[in-house]
Amino acid sequence: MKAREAKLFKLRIVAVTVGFMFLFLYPSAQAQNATPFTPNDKFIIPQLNGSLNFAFNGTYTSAALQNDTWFFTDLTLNRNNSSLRLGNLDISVKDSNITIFTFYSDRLSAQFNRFGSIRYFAEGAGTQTINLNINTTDQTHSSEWGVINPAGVFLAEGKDWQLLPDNTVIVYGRTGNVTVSHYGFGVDSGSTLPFYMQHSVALGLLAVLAVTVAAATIIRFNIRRNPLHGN
Amino acid sequence: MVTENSPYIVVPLFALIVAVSIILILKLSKDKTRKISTLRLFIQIAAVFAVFMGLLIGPFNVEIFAPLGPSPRDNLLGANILGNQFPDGISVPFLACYYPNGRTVTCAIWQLQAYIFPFWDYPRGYQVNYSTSGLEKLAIVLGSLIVACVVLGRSFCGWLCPFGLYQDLLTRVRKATRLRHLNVSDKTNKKLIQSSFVIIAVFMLLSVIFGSYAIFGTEIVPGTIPGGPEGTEAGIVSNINEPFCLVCPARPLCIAVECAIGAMDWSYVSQIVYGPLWISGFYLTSINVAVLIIVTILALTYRRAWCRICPMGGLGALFSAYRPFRHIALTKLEKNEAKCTKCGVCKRVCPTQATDMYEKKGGDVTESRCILCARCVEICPYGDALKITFAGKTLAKSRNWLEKSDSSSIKLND
Repeated sequence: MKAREAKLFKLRIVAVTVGFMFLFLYPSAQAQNATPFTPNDKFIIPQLNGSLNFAFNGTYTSAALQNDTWFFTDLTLNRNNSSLRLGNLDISVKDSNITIFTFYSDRLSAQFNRFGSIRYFAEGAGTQTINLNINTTDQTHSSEWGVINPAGVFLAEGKDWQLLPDNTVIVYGRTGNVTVSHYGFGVDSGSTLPFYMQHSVALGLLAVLAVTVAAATIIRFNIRRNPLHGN
Repeated sequence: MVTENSPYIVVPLFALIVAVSIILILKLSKDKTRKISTLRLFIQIAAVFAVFMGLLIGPFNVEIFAPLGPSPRDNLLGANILGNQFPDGISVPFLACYYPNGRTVTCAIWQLQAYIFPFWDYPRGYQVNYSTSGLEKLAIVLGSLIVACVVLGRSFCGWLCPFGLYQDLLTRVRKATRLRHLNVSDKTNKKLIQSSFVIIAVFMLLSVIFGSYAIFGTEIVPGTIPGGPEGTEAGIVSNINEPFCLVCPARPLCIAVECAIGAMDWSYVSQIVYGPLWISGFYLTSINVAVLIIVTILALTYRRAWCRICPMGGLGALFSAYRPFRHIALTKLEKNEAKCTKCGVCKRVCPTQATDMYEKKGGDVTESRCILCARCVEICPYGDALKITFAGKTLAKSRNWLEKSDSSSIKLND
């Protein structure tokens, strides 16, 4: 009986391992029909006198210019021998040329399901309109966003950047390296979790509170009964 | 992924340094009338480092930051000393802004307001617990405060609060310039601690009014529907959320620390000069700075001026010095009437002008104004007359230092 249970246990381990491997392989499999691009490929927006290119080789499954905005789907950048699927990017560039170094829009991770970031180098003090397509349809809070200047410091909203209700960020007048990031405050309400997990902190705290009050009451009671207690 | 400045290295190293330093202070400090004060100053400084440690620790366990490389902002939001996701930090009963400390601890006043408005029905919380219940979130904050205050009382104010340290440093500046402090009358002083309850009640009520749409379904103040057509989370809502934080004098200091280490642009500070009065998110307002200036001037004149009306201190007192919590609070200031000669030195050195240790006959003399700094215990010249106890065990007691040292060297001008 025990041998059978051990065998079942091993089978489960193998199944879980294969499952994880599939998760890792899945993004690569998705990128098989992708169109490659190189740093020399310029994506021009003629009406706005702007252009963009990527600093590394990469791929996309589709790239379309609509309403003076480039819509990229399933972008990958071959950086550090990695071709992780990075997500979808909508970007418009006016009166400037930008080179995109990194991009990430997390639509898969449960833990950081609203994280998104792009880092680019801008030539010409124009305007960049960026939608990172973070994994939410909710309007985000401005304090969840960071626009970081070349010195690596965080710029106040209203100083060269603005957040629109559809989570589009407009960066204006900046040259050099710019990083735009959205930080992942989870939006998962956990409604699918069991009750004790949904309210784990409240229940845990209730237990701590009960123990603290009980222990404190006993200690104070003992002290009152014996004033010399503990001294 | 463990980065070079991982919390696995920084936190134990920090704890070791603090522990060794405390032992050295206790062993080497020879002036009995300054020993506790020296220890307290060190612990206050260490607490500031601990609170702001999130800024010093790099992105931890966050693979997605790797392709970008860490930025100072990552340190603000990516770091977490505990290695867990506590997006809103653990509630602490002292003034420590949310963002500067790397999400590890959070000023409970911010949470009490924010969970009413704008986050009453907004999924925020702790680890897997992204509670959408405003009441549950408030209960967690209040429960945490009760646990902390029942165990340690208002010692948070005396030993850990960064703004308390700021006021103590101002006191040291005043003493260095040989200026004498002023006292308010006892009657006024008693009223001041009561005013802290009024202050917190007013700001909580404001939060309820602003959050009325989410709580009651009625929008009392126009433009306070989160994400609504008039008010947006990015706009109007963030202009009036957390109303106490818009006047809190500790906020400019927290932001100054961030700016000083390069984690935030100084434009946050300069915007108060040329920018609008109401600035969203965790930015400064001109009211913050005005209150800080006023409190600074007052603290140079009256010791621990802010602590007398601090709403956080009021909450601390509520959960430790008033019934029913008073009966079970574990950290106490106690007096032995038989040893007391009514010399009044304890009353004279108390930074918040507490009087119960002088006026009351004996036993538990902890009162709502007492921040358990133990200055009275340290300076009392009669052995065992005053003592700080925890769960009945004596932590510190007054010593008969008059017999063995030169009393003329004692500085009572606190």
